[in-house]
Amino acid sequence: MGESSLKKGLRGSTSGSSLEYIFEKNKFELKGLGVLFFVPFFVNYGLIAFMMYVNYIVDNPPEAVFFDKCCCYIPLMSCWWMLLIFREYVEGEGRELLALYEQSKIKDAIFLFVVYFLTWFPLVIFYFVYGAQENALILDASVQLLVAVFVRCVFYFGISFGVLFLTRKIMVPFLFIMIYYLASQSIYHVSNQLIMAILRPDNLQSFLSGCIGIGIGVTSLRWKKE
Amino acid sequence: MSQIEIKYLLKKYGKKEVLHNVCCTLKNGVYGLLGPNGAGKTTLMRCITQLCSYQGEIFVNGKKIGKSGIQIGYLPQSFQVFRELTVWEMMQYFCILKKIPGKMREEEIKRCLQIVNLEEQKNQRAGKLSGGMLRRLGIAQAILGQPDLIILDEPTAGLDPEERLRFSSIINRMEKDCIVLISTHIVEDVEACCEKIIVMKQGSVLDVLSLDELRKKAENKVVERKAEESSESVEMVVVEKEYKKEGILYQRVLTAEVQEGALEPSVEDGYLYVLHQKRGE
Repeated sequence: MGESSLKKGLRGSTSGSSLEYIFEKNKFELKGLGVLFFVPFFVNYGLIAFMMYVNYIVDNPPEAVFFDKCCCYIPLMSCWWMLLIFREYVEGEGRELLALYEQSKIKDAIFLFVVYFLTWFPLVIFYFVYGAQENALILDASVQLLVAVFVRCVFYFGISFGVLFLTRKIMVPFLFIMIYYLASQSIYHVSNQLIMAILRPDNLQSFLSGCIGIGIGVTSLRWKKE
Repeated sequence: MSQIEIKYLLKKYGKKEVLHNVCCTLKNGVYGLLGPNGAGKTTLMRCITQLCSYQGEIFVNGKKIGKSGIQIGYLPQSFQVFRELTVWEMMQYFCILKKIPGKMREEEIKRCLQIVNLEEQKNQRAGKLSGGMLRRLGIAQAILGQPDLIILDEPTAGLDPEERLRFSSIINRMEKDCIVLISTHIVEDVEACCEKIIVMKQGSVLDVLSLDELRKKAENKVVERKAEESSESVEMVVVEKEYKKEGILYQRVLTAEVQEGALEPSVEDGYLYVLHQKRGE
C-alpha cells in the first residue's frame, strides 16, 4: 500500500456507527477508572444488602427497607461514573488533548446513564420476584420502585452534569449532590411521605430539574468554549 | 504536501495581547518553535490546534484550517489521561478518538510503539510509567494515524539527558511527509532534530530560519574575553555565559559588530543574536 493511500485508509471518516464509537470510547473510559468503576456496584448491591440485613436484625420489614435504601443510594451513585470520566475533560492533565477531538458530551452522558440503568435494573427484578414469592408485593410496587429511582437518577445525574460543566470543577457537583442528599434525608425523616408516590409533583419536579440540569450543562459546554 | 499559512494572528487574554500579528508559513519538515518563557509559543500552538479562539486566519493548503480536514497530532505540556489504562489500551483509546478503522488499529499501534520504543511496556499501566516513558507514549499517540501536522509542546521538559537524546532520535526516525512543530526553550533539542527554527519573543515571530542561517546571524560576532575586561567599549548584545579556565573568569560575549578573531558561532549564539538584536531594534 502506498504512503498516501495508507494515510487515507487510516482516516476512514468513521470507524463504524456513531453508537459503536460511543460504546468503544466509553468502554475504555470506564476501564480507565480502575477500581473506582466498581463503587456503584458495591453501594447498590453490597451496601443495600448489608442495610437490609441490619434492619432485618432489628425487625424492620425488609421489603420496606429495600425500597427505602434503593431510593436513597441508587440515585446518589447515578452521577459517579459521569463525574469521574468528565473530570478528565474539565480538570484532568490531558484535558487539552481530549478537547482536540470532536466529542458529544451529551451522547456520552446518555450512554453512561443507560449503562448505569442496566446495572441497577436487576434490583427491580429482584424486588418483583421477591415480592411475588412473599405475596407481599405486587407489580405496582415494582413499578413504583422503578419510577421513583429512575426519576431521582435523572435528577441527580442532570443536576451534577449541569453544575459540572457550569463550574468546570469536579468538587462542586460532588458537594452539591452530597449536601442535597443530606438535606433531603432530613426532610424525609420529618415528612416520611416522600418516596412512595409515583407521579406526585415532587417526582415531576425532580425529573424536570434533572432535565434542566442537563440543559444547563449542554448550554455551558457550548458557551464556555473559548 | 501540506502547507500552513498563518496570517495576522492575534490573541488576547483580557487586555493582554499574547500573540501580536503573527505571520509565517510552514511546509513539510520539522520546525522548532524557540523563545523564552512567555513568548507565546504554547498560545500559538493552541491557536493552530483550534483549542482557543483568535483573530486572524490560518490556512491549510489554501483552505481555512477548520474546513481543511487536516488531522493534527498533539502532545500538550502535560499528558496524563485515564492512568489506569495500559499502554496498549491507551493507544486503542486514541485510535477510537482519531476514528482509525478497527482493522488497521493493531498494525498502526505497533508501528507507533516501535518508533518510540515502548513495545515491551505495552501491558504496563500508563500511571506506572516513568516521566520519560510517559512522554514517549504522548509522542506515540501524537503520531498515531499519520497526521498531517504534529504539534509537540515542550516535549523534553523535565526529561533526563538520555531521554532527551532518545527524543531527538525518535523525531529523526519519523517520516517527514508532514509538518512537525516542536516548542521548546532548549536550543540543543532544536539543534538535534529540527530543520528550521521559528524564533518568538513577546508574542511576535522574529524570524523563521534554517539552522545554518541562524548560525550565520552570529558569524564573527562571538568573542571570548576575560571578565575583568568587561568595561572595554565593545558594543555588546549579550553576555552568553561565564566560565573559569585556569582560575580566570572568562565570558562568551555576543557583540553587535563584526569582531576579529571571533569564535565559531553556535545555533544558540544565532538564536540569542536574533532575540536580543530584534528587541533592540
